[in-house]
Amino acid sequence: MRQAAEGQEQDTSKPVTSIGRRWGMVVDLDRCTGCQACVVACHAENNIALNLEDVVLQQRAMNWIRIERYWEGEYPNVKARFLPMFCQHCNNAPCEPVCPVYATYHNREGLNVQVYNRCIGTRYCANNCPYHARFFNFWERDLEEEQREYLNPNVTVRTKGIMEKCTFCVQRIRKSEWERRHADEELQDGDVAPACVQACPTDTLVFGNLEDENSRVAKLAENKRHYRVLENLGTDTNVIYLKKVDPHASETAPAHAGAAANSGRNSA
Amino acid sequence: MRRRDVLKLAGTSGIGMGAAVAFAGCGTPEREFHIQSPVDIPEDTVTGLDAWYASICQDSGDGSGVIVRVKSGRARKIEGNPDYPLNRGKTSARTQAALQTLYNPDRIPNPMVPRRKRDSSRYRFMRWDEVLPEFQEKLSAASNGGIVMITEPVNGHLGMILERFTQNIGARWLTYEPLEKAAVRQASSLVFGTTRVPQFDIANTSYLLSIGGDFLEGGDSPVHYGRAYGNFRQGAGRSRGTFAHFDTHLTMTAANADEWHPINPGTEGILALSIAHAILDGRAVPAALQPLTGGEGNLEAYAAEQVADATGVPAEVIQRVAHDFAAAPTAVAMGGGSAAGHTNGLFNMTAIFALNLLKNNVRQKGGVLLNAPSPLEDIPAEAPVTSFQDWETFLNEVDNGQVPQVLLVHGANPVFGLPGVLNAASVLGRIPYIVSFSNVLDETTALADLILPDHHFLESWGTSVPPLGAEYATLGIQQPVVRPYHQEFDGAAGTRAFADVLLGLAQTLGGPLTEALPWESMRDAIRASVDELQARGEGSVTSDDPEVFWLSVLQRGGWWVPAESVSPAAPDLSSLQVAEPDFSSDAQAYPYHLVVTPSVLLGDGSGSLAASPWLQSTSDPMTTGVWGTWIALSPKTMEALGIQENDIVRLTSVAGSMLAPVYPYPGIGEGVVSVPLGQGHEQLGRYAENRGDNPLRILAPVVQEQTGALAWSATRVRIAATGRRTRLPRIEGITAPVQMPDEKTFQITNES
Repeated sequence: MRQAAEGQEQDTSKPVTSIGRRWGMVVDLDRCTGCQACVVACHAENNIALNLEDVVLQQRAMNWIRIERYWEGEYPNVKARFLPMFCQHCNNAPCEPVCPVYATYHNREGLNVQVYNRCIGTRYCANNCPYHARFFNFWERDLEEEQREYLNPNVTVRTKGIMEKCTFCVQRIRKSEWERRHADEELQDGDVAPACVQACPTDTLVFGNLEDENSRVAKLAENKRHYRVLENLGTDTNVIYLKKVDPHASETAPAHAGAAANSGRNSA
Repeated sequence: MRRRDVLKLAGTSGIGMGAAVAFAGCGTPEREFHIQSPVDIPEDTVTGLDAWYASICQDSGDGSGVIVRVKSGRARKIEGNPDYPLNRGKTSARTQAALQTLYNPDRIPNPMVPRRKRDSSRYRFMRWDEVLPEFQEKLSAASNGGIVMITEPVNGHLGMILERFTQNIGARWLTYEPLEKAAVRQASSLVFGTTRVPQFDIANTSYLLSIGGDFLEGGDSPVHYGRAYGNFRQGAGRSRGTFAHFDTHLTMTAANADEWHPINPGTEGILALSIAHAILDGRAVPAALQPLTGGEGNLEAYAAEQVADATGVPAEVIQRVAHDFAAAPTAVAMGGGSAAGHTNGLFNMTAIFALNLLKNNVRQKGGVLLNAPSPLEDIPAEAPVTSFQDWETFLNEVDNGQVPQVLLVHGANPVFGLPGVLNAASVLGRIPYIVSFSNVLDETTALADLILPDHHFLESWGTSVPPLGAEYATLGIQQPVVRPYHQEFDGAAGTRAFADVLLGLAQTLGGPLTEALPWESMRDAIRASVDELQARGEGSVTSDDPEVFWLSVLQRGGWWVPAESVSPAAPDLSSLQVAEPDFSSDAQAYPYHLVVTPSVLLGDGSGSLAASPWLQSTSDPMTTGVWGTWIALSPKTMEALGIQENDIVRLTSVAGSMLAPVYPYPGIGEGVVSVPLGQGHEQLGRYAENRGDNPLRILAPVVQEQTGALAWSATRVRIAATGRRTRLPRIEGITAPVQMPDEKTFQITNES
């Protein structure tokens, strides 16, 4: 209850007091090939409902992580760009203050947390998320017996009527913590890898503690190519992107070409 | 298997190492059970013990090494094996989705026979002891040459067993590979002197030239090359590599290149010669490469200006790429994909690979690395592949009355994959007794008179020699990580491992077969090989105790030893003929060039990948299309034909026609049509059947002259609107971040 009380009294426009640990991710766009391994790994780890054909046609497909594809330029100088997008675990999260029941709040490790059994499904948070990283369960699950066998026993199977999103695989964080604690050791950099990070063939995704200046993720976050998506909104995300390198960028498009400048279609 | 059965099993069988049902005790100390108010995400509190077993994933197409999380006797998650040389802990989407081929609700649980011959709608479940005697009788009666065995190309122990089984029982063994790589293999053998396609060391190269290569989505191992690509771009201790790519359209691999240039289909070899001409820059053509010049002694005919029109690549691009390739400290030239599927595929691939000889980069870091051989002499690294020409001959023979008595099918689906004009279903259907070992009802299995379902690969023994691996000679070991989901128990029939059925037959049929296959099970066969490896006293695992060695090898997921340097034969291009591409039909009646594209998710449609809802619902990287087939057309072509997005159009080739909705694809030229593979199944369960259409069906049966392979890029089509529309399900447009006018979501820099 202590954490909840804290959440209620707090000024939600400020990050929560940290405990020397702030989980974050670096996404190196220059490495990403768009191979979708992270997407399927996330589905397998987090018991995400199946996106059956009619669910997709209803525009209600759930992907905690997705690879957005942006077209740029005109044939034959056309480019396709890939951008992994998922909950940015904002320190100033627009989804948090609008929840009437504190189902989403910031914990002291920098995680934006969704408490399923508090959620009453107002969907205000999804409306307020500029990254469209939150997904609502519009349907009850209808799984065959075989399909229950591979569910991850460490992750709740969400039901109709509640909101869900990327958790940075909090069950893996807790597990690594637990294992270290019982060996009387501190959590080390590299102990925790969310499912997407572990699968990623190209090492596009790097996860770790941003407050530990020696961690791999904190060092990469200082790379000169770093930026945050929609930084001007002031969301202060814990996900840092590294710009795609394109030696020909100035020839085909402005150096900061992106989706909005596209003449082509928009992304996923 | 039900929960009750698990408990029974635990009581009766005892659980040892290698058996997968592991019951983890409750190791949580008392102090962990504090009272928890429900204000945290529930996942915050969960802990528990898992068992992890190393094995090999057969769904990924490359035999990736995996570790599988097993809890309560069920496989829960698949991760990459961090030790395994091929993929070093990395996985592809297909590897991740293997849980869904294991726990597929449409798997065949028991042996079954159709109630009416050639009718796949109703089956009778049987027990193994009811069906095996008749099966053995039929085999014995046909063993004088009346048996045909069809499998996918398999290596490792199953490859060895199949070879010995078919040889000693007098059966004909045909392997089926939908998009044949014969041209790539033969070109490797001509240029590099090794039949195995080499490993292109892109992780360490500074300049990568790829002509038609699809190494990030198809090819030998997208995971291996994905990992290398990450290092190529931003690896520690090296500067960023440069990547130039030429292809008929903007594929996923092309999208990751620094520069992509469209090229006219079939002219990839000519482009390579033109690049060679620019690299040589007036110097004499090295003697080994003389045959490439068409006997003229020089490459003047391929000067950049001369070929610009034919290839569609501007002369200055050819010259610049050639200059960059030659000037880079290390450079490597790759090829493949549709370039290898033309009638002149062998010429294309040879010319592309030969650029590496000009760079003198064979067996150099950042160049072309030759794969280590199989660590055991009798375990093949590669399976023989039956060429399309041989398939055609075989089907003609059957059609003309030379009908074999028994057909055995495992892991291959020629009825789905062979061009429709060959009528594989009706021709194979004439064989009086067809036995399929598939554990899903695919199109070829639907013909079967008897289905003897195989275990899933996570339930059975096997081995794999990885397709790439220059550093280590590797034998990957696939062990059962869970007990069979449909297991033989108390009279329940269940599934049975294909290899064990063959070995069982070898025991009962007697004669030379028993001598050639003396093992009672696949496990024994592998154990015998592992004992051989133990005796060598080297490699990733060593031990004086065979039992310790065996267990350690299983724990590591295999055994590997640093490869001795391979001494290849000298390049021999003398048999090569410079060739123009030949297309199936005239350009006026069929004005568009059809490129069938393997999907990074569903592959070429073989196997049961399309039965996985995860793979079906994950967006195609380029179009974000899911759950269907689409026809990618240039917006200009659409305008010219008066076709809108989502209009259903008919593609007609000389060999047939198919229907699918149109997707406007910015990365494709006006004369080219691209269609993804993997869909269009008539069978394969609820998630795959009657979904999309199969472009393999409408391929013209054109043969590559020098290899006998199917020229799967040589089909031309015409496009006709049908007047109907549909909505192609796709992920794009469902969610996208808010786009700000003054702040780009995707940001680019030109400084590396």
